Amino acid sequence: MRFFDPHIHCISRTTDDYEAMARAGVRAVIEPAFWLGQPRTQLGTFLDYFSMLLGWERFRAKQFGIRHFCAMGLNSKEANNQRLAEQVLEVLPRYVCKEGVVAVGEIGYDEITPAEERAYEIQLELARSVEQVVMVHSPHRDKKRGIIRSLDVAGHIGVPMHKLVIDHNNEETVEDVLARGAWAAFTIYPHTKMGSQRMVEIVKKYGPERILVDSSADWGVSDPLSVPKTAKLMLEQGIDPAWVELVTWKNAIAVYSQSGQFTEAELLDTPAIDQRALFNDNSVLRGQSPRIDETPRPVPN
Amino acid sequence: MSEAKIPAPGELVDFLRAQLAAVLPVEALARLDADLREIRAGANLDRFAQRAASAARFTRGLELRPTAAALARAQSLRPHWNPERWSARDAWRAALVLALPDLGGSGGQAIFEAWLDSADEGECIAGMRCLCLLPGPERFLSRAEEGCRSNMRSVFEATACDSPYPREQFGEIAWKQALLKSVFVGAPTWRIQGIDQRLSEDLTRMALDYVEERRSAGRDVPLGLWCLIGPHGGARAAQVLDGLARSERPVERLAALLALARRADGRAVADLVSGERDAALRQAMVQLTHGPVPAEAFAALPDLERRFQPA
Repeated sequence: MRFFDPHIHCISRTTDDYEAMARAGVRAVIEPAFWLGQPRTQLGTFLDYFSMLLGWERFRAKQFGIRHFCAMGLNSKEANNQRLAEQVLEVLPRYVCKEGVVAVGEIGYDEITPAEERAYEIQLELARSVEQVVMVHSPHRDKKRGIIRSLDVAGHIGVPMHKLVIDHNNEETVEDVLARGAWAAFTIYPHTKMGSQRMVEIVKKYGPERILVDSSADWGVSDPLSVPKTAKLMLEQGIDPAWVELVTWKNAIAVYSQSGQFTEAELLDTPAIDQRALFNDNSVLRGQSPRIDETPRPVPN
Repeated sequence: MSEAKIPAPGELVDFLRAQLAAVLPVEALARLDADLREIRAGANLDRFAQRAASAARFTRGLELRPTAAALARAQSLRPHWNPERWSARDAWRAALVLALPDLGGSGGQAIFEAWLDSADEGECIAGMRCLCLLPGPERFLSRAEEGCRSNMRSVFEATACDSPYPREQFGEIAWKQALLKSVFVGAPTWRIQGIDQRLSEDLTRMALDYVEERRSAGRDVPLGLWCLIGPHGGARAAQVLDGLARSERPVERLAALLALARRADGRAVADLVSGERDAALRQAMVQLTHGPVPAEAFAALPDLERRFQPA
């Protein structure tokens, strides 16, 4: 089976994770722009981070046979630094149409402040104007209210619901998202937020339509194999394999290929790995023999 | 916002120096005095940053451990300020900040803010701890909000707990978010000052929504959440607390007891106590509800949880 993890922060993961992901069948990922764990203080650190998502991290993933896409945006936490937010929002249009950028994201609310709302509205309008997909981070506190507001504001700005992904859903929020015609993504963490077993129950109850599963693996305790593991659990518990394929591969393709940045056919092409390649004179190797696929062969599952 | 009664920086420097004198070796105290002289004379940002960073070298592993008299003095200087959990490093750095010339004006503010921009975790903690001691506190609201946005529990607690700042300066959104966040990150919610003065229907709604979320996920509700319910929430709150009062976990029954007492629901409290079969637990319940039950009363719950393990 192939898997698409549509929300993962690869810059905080090691190559051990990339190797494990590739072995488990993860073939594509989306890394949305977020904060670094503490507030940035300069525009430059945003720009260098954006460049890193587009450059080095995409290269790093490719060395392990994984297609790396990203989302560009000003995250909700840092929207509250209004002086800095203005500067980022001003340059964001330069980034949202670059190759491999499949969405404006991850944007939305963190504490549901006026500053967050302003940044959210501006970015929704930007996404609408360039016909881009939108990835919304839903707040962890006052989540239900935050999601409803996220849906309302996006609708008001004119972002089509079939291009809107609301992430970090749970049992209390999924119905509102699906009822509006938007996509509902679920983050599977080992101990907090949504878990694999609960995800199984969600899919049994609501079916696979417009549902996505992701790991949001980041610098905290999180699992970059959440998507394949959840798929395995679903199959073990009798969910139709076609449904499993939808929520862990095809739905992510359906929503994010609307960006025009890739097709399903391209993802099905087996990647040729050449670890001799360099990015700005940098290699992922540290003394190992490079893996070189002279002829393309499938990344083993 | 509440009017803050903030003493002159010099008074606070004297107080902190006196506390440090009780725990620092002589050479370290001399170093502090030299730093204070230099800062007062007008050190620039680089020099301030160096001295503030170096505080770690002289205070390694030392806690401030103020006496009861010192804590009372702190309260009289700055009501609702509790330096009980300050380290010596925090106090040293706070003293340097308070020694900055023109702290009430743009000069001192610029150095303090630039220092925070490059602060490491320890410096963030000290910076957040001293916000409630600075003149013109409203100038640092966004810093405090950033401190509460941190997922580093140490930084969050330094900002939100044991300080009058959030209650005095935070708007409604930041205030409610800080309270919920404390539950999220496992900080002692009951140490956030002024909860009882700023309870609200919306805060109770947020808390009850979170209870539903945790229950749907099959997870326990952190104990600190229950001090946020207060007298609000109507029938919904009453129903949730009624369920909590029937919990198999003794500590949850105690949390329900405290929450119900805070709603002046004497009947529910009496029913809970009389229905409690564990005699020792019943005794503890009577003691806990002997007088008014402020948010701080929930501080007793972790120890009581250890004492009364479920059968």
